Amino acid sequence: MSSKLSFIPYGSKGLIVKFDKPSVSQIEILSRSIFRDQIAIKLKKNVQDLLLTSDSLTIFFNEPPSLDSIKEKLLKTYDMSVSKRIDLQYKHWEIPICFENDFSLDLFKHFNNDDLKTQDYIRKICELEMIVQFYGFLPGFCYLVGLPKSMQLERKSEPNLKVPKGSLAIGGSYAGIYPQNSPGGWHLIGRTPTIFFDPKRNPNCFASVGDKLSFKKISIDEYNEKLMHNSKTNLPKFTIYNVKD
Amino acid sequence: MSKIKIIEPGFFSTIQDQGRIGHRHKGIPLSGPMDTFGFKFAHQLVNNDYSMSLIESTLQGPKLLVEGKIKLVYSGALMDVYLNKKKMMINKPFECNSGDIVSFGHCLSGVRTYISFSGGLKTSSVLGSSSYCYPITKKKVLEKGDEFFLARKSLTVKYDLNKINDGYYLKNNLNVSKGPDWNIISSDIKESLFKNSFSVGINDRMGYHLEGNDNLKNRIHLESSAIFPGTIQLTPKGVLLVSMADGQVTGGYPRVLILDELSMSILAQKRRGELIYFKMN
Repeated sequence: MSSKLSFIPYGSKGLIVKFDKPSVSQIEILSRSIFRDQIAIKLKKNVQDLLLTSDSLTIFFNEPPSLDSIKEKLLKTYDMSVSKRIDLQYKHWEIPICFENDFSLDLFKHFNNDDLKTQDYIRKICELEMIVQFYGFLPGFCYLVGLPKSMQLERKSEPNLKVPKGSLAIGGSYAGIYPQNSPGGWHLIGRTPTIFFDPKRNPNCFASVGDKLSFKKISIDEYNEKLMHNSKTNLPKFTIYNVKD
Repeated sequence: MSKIKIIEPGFFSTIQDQGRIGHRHKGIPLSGPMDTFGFKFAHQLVNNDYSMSLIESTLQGPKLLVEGKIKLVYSGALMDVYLNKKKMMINKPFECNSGDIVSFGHCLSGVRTYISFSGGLKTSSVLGSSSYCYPITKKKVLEKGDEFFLARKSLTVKYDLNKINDGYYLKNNLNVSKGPDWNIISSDIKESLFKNSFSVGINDRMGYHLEGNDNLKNRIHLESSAIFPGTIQLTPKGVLLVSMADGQVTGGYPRVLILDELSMSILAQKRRGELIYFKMN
């Protein structure tokens, strides 16, 4: 197992722990997330932050670390995290998405204005279970995996200057939800009234790495209704599962 | 209690402290000053702790109305500054009284000026920092009519101020070290990074574009991974992206070089079209 990690220094206060391949399965993602949490506890004194992405964990230290002693700890902790599969728990969130108005315009364009194909894609994406692989790009932007090859859409060559907050978008093999207005190069396929990032809410981001998300189609009226009554503390519906279930 | 009122906000003025530490894993950028050297020096000159809040202004500074007695200083980019009608010098703290107007004009050189008040400004904090970064903070920039009380001086920090370094940002050599993806770029690219100058392109608090030459074009594809301020990524088109204070926490281009802290400060004072060179540490 241990040979599956490699270490690359990142400046004097950063260390990249590289996994042998990008995480794909929920178990891989969850065990890497546990690895992250364990490292955060074990190296607490000197760790400022840890950022998990698809194929690496980057550790930011307060002071330059002594790498030899840390590497051993990392390897041991990794072995433990990948073997310990019994207690893996996650939440499955149901995210309301509206596909009406111009919310799925990019999808419609992608299918050359073919409404049947667009509707078929929308039906399929609502049947998927997607997994939060990591957070990056913007505050509260989660990278979701689980899109079959046939549904993946190449990123746009020219980015949109303004992607509206709440947009559900596809970029290559990833899906993601824009937590704020932003420029972006992904295809917009729907919009959610759910708040994905709130600096004043605890937690700021409700979905954890390893959690599942599925999309529930709502009408434009429901969308507007939810948007109006969206109290910031309002979280979407969720169920807690064990991985072994 | 003493306070300042913003009569004119200037071109792009923000509140900054040392930044939002420990929230990268949620996608939250660090923020904090663009020119850490100028920020620290401004605080040193009025014996402030680095954790205090100050004003970072860009190209053109704000106009302030003073209430009560305050002491302030400006550092970083050289600027035309007047206390009422009297010209005030950079890096020289001065005192003001009720009714005084302090006008920060245009930068004479450099881009970012740091205005520090003895005791620091009282500011509201989001996730451990008062640094403006929209939409994490409600505000993007200072606005006309904003008011800030001054924190009462509870501690005075003594600094060794022998090292006054006027014009530190006029240099155009930036010190870099190897980034984590250095080993995957070709030797031609490595050579080109140090043989030629780069021209400063579009830039803001998130980052600086540096334009070089066609030798830097590449077809390297990587998974997105962590980025911290000072990191230089190489895009397929051969443009260098320097991540700065408000830079995104992840990026998908090879991280070829890393600027040291002083070089980040120097770059933060450069304007579009200026030339810079890299020097390996």
